[in-house]
Amino acid sequence: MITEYHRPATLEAAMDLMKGFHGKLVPLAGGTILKRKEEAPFAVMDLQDLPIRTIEKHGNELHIGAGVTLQQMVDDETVPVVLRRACQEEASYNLRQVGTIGGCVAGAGGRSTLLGLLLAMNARVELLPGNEKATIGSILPLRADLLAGKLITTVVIDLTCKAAYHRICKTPMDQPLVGVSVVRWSSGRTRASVFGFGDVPCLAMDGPTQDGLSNAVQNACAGAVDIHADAEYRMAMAGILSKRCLEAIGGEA
Amino acid sequence: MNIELKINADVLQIEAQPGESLSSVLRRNGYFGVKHGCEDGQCGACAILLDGKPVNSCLVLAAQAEGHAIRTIEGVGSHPEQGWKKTDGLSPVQKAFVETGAIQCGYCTPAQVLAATSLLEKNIHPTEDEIRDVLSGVLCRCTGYVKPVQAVLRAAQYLRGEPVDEIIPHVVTTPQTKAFTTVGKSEVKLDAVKLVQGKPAFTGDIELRGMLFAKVLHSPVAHARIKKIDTSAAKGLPGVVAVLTWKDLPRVVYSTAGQSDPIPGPLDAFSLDNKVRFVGDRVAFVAAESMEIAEAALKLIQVEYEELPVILDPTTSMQEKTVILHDEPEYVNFAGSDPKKNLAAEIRIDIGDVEKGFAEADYVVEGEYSVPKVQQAHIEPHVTVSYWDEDDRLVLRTSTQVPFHIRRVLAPVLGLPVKRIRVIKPRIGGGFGGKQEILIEDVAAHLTIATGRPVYYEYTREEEFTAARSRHPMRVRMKTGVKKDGTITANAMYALSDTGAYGCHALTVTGNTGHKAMALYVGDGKYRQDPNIRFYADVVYTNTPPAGAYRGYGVPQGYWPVERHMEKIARMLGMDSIEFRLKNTLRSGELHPFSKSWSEGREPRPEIIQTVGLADCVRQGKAVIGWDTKYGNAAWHQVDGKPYLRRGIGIATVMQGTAIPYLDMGGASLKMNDDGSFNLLIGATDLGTGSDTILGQMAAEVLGIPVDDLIVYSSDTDFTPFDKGAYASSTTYISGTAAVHAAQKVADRIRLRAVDMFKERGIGSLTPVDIRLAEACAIAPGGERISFSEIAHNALHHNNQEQIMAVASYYSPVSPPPFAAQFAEVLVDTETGSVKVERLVMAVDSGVIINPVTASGQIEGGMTQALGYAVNEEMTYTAKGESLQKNFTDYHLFRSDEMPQLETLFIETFEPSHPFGAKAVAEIPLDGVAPAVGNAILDACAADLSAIPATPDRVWKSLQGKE
Repeated sequence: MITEYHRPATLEAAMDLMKGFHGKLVPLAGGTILKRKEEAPFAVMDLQDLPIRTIEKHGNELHIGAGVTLQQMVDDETVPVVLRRACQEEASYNLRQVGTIGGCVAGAGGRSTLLGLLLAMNARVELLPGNEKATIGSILPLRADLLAGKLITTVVIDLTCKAAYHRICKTPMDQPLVGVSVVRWSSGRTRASVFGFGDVPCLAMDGPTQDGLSNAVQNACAGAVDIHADAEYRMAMAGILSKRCLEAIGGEA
Repeated sequence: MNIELKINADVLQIEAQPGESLSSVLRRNGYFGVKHGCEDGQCGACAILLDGKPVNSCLVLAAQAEGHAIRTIEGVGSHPEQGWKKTDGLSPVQKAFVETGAIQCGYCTPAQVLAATSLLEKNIHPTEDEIRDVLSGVLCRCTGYVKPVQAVLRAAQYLRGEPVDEIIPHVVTTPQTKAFTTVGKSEVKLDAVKLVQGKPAFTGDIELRGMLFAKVLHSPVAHARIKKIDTSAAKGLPGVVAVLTWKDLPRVVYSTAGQSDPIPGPLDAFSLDNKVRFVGDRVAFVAAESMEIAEAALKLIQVEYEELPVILDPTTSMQEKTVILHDEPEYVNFAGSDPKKNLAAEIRIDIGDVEKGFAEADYVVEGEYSVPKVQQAHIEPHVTVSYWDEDDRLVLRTSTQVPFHIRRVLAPVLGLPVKRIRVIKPRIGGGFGGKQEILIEDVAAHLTIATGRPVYYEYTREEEFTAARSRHPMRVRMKTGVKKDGTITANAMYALSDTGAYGCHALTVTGNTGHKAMALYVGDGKYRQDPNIRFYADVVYTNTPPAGAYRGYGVPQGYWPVERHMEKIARMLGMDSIEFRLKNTLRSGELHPFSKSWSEGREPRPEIIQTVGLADCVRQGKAVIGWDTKYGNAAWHQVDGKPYLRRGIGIATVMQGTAIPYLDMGGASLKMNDDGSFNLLIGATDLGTGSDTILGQMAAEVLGIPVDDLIVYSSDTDFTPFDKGAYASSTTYISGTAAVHAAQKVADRIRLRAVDMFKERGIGSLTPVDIRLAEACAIAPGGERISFSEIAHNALHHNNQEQIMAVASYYSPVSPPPFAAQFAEVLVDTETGSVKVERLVMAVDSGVIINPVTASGQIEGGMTQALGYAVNEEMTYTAKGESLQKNFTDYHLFRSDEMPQLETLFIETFEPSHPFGAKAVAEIPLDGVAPAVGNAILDACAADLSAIPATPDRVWKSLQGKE
């Protein structure tokens, strides 16, 4: 239950609020994931006035403010096409107007296409206080604890990689039953994530080459049983989807 | 906290809680165009424009909106006629929504209009894809999005200053309709202008002084006796006004099914009982000063349950010595129900000699099929407001399809005579059968009786999934005898139907599974005269949320097995599947095979079917979808460069019914006003279908007036005549005929008076039959005219004064079936099992189409619901009976940006039993989509599904031979 509402105007004010706050203070971006039905009282810090809403290209990196909405990403031509498509498929039009990339990193679940892709792209986040930097892969396993008392300001994307994802849904825009993202760098380094189930997407592989990709994504689906599909199906599909991803990024299937 | 909100042209200072949503604040302040459809931002009914962008206001805190421009539907356009005050009228988007028929129930319309407005303010040249993307945030369960998309395209034309196209649905007309002036025309829905403005027309759009808010404590266990229940802590919570348990209420057994008397099913429900039978069953009612307090009170009620064994599998339910769900002594049997066997209904219908038919067959083909439990998912949840009026009569303002049944059924439950209850049905945000149920009205009523105060009760979306009704899941066995030449010699179906914890609609829904789906194939040759058909069914109780009425009413459950089975038989015989079907289907002039055997638990009477347009539907539908160039064409089935993709095409032929013969009755009353306008009062329940307009069109046709000259008011038990309600595809046919008969009586009075008035004007020697009514005038053979306004003044003020008015009612001795051919094109990924339905075509014989735009809207919306049934919708439960789908994330509804192409063709016949030749249209689109998709999948890739939905994993497993 939300008992307090704060809207700091600057990052400094936000840090001061977080530092001195007694009790639970939750950053409020778009609000699409925030569970307002939570029983225990908590306060929210509305991020809308903070300067974290721009997309900037810095060399081979794209610095995306955590408050950038999914729709901004869909509309911005500096964002890689594959990422724009993932944003579009992440949510309906109305939700994309308020849902943010920071909110996705902080709260999206295992069925999130966008979070699965960011994980495979080895995207990193910049955090306050302390100007910490961390990869999404390092955050996701213990996300709630690692982000407590911190504010994501930026999501950084490496533009030198080639990325693709494929997913299987019951209807074209439903959330996926299973999906695979594969990302490769010119060095041959290949990362793959699996999504469509669980609390967060799963990093299936990070290797110097693509060798073992199919096995890795299938293994990542072992035990992935829920109301939407069983592990046998997901394992079989992960192999097929990873092959299609490789074909899409010009790799050898 | 105090916040300042800029809402439309106003700046308001508002006191809000820090966690209060913007939607709550807006509705609290009278912006009722903001609708409630869910609690997690998935439906979009609450969308507003925030700085010009559509956002779901349930996800935005009111405090977040401070400093931003909020635009609600109340800030868009206005009624074009406001007396002496000039207005700009409706906005171009609103105008286009009205003109294209984009508004059915109108519940999501404000949100759609706002989304479209935001798009067109940026771009007046939108593509269809852009429009579909922008509308993707607003779920619509009525329209299939066809007409909303057309509306936005049309609005863009207006904004560009271009001429707009006439809207012409595809209708192959009959010669008999040529003389009609209003019937057959796409008149604008009479409620469209208010709905497009988001006027407070729905049940929840009301504030009453002292209104309390109700909540229900639902059972967390699937089967238990309530050993103890302690409400003292809840009652002690400040703001709680009443807490009711089973101990507080009289124990009156009833059925929640909204059906005519006698209810054709067991009486097995109580408002509150000392036993719970599913997770979600009722335990206690609370009324409090706010919804939040009522919710908090629920958590303070202490309940001790004595848990009982749980039955979730219908086959287990029928086993010997199984646990009994209904052991209450008050249980009242109907027909074959037997609570000791967990049997809510039993059906055994034998037509002809089925065993002889099997013996005469060259092949006997058997198959097993299953269909899932699915939800109606109307966007407006169940909602009721109850209050005592100034005469201490209990008023129930409720979102229902059956206001008159509510009054009758609840009177004993509440301890009130029928005459002291008034039920009002405002506009309904979709029903689809889910509101043919007396589901929550008693909760509000009991609490009003307990407190003396108005009570508001509205389901959450989770309650809709856990404690409302659904489509009966069934397991079906088919056995069909067939000769080598394709003649069906006998056809048998056994259905095991799961009614859940209560038997509402158990007999009639499952009866229709056979009555409609097994009636279509009678066989050929001598079997045409004496078909051999068997339909057996057991409808059993389980500890799951009750099933009930859902558009199609058992028939979609029947056509999945029947049409999949027919496809298999045709393929086995090596026959063209369409030729095989038409060889064996019913034809005009033949007896409805079930009409001598079964009629919803009442006495059956033989019925000859007069009009069957099925062969024409097949022919025209084939042409539109290009069947002959695709079916059997190997090249068409392939996709260049993607060998794992395969195209497929499929068909299903179906029939429904039109009303329940000798039972369904509707009434109408018509009264002439001073200016020659008329009040048409009808009991019929317009649940977004446009029935108010359709009935008005038929009355207008008789009277020779424009529909605008009718003020239609419907569904108020105090003021309108009786009507059985909106179900069984009966409104156009039954209630429409009542409206026609009332109009004919009024027309007779007008003609009589016109004869006298012509005589006074020196035009003598006329008889009433000489007078023609047209253009709101009585017209003599010589062309002389007297306007209806003059006639009304003459009648009301001048001469032999009388109120020209009439009442009529109608019930039918027959139930003429509509017929249809439904086609599907699919793209199957044979490696993953993914199925993309790319195109649905439906050619339908619904008799004469009274209003092509509203009728095609029914088909498009129905096909879309059926599409969900075919490919993705399913309600499932844990081993303890807890629902696994409680929101629109886990139970996905098709959005505007993922729809296949939908096409509708009306192949008219003239049904002689209706004044204008009409038959039903609303339910039949639910019947054939799933089997057409299933047959198309088989055509694409040899995945031979026996169950739906055709999810990717199910198709993949079928391809692996694992289904």
